[in-house]
Amino acid sequence: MAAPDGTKIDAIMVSDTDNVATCLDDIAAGGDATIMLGKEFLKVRAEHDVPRGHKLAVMAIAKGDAIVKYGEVIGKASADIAKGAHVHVHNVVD
Amino acid sequence: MFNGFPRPNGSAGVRNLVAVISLMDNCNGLARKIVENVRGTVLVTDLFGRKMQGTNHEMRLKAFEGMATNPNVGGVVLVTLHATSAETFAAPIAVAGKDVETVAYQDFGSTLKSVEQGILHAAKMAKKCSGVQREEQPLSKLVLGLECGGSDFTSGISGNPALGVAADMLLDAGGSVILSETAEIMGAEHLLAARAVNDAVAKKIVQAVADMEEMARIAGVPDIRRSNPAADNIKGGLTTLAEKALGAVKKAGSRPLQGVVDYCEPVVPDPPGFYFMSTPAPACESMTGLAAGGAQIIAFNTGSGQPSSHPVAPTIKFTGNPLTASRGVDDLDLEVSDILTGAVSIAEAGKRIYDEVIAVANGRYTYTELYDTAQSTISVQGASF
Repeated sequence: MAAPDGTKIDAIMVSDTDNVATCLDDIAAGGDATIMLGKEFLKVRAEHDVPRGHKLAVMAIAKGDAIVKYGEVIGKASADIAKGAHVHVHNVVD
Repeated sequence: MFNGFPRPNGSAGVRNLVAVISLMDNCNGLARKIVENVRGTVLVTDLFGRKMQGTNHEMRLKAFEGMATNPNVGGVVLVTLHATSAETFAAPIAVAGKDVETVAYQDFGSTLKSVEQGILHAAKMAKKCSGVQREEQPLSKLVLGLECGGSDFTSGISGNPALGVAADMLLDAGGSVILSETAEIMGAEHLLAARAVNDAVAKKIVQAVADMEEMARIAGVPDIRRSNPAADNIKGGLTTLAEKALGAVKKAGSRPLQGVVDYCEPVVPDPPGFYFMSTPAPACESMTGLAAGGAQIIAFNTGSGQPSSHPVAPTIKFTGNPLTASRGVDDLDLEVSDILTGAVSIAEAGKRIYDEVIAVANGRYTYTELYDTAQSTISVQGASF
């Protein structure tokens, strides 16, 4: 199955309060990622290459703000994070 | 309801096994030869055992007693060097109302004669077990162990959440589940504490994590919290400890936490519900804890693939990773990777797991049972976290 417009699903958001999505496959910078949240779909342009299993910001996250996945805080941004950016150890702290 | 084998103490087994248990590593070969020659037996062996003392000895006593008295076991053959070492183990098994026999190598001084004696005991028990009928049992007698191993980025987003749905379904039907692996909840223990039925239980789960961190320090791992996620986790996409732990805790659904027990302590489901057992993270050690605690079935989510299962508790192997699912068609009992394509909801996938748990409870075999590749491992203190 795929999104309603036929594109394959590139990433998954777990909860509707999440601000990151987890990539199911490598996504190249500049590509439009199709993100599934339950039965909803949204598209976010990847600002960087994001490898499979890694996270992509679905909205801009300011330095110091919470990174939310599973509807819970998993860490906080150690720098401003743009929508579509790769979110990982280089811009997140516990 | 499920159809299970009634036990004198009121519990019910999903299998009626003859467990051949080697109490020390020097007798493992003898026990293996017995099991190879009698249908209906399972092999439980371990390493070390001779002259163990202190905490490790206590842990082995609890582990062997727990596995031997698991509701799935109908009879026990203990294999050991001298009969006196078996007395401590045999007594509680007999008290639980199960047939138990001991084969002591030094009574014979002969491999062939001691194996022959073991085969005779095991065959008599297996014949008796095979004549027992299953009877209808309430789900309040079913305890499901929750396990994950070979975890990857899919574990927290497909496999574990689906297992959490199945766990909630079983709990709502009156059954119980046990979550384990203390190091895996480290970083999310406050969330489990918030689900505790009372302050005492909340304190216990936080303490279980603190105790494990202390054990790690004593063993030369000064800050186990800081060393997680590990390098391979980070390469795979896990960024923080909390993210790793939250993914793991998804297995445990959403219902209240009833109690916290130590490694291999019996989980008395009174009341039935969600329990936590403090165990090391490696799968064979944690599954041994679950089986010794009384879990009749284990549901095991593997992200990247893991072949193990437990000899005493039929282990349902599944994955939420499509690549793993396609490679493991011969040893995975089901898969839920269709969550990732949007073809099924997590709720639907959870029901798939729940239905398999009930089917296995009623007698359906798991692949790992059919291949007889199970492995029991009793933890040794200081070596695993």
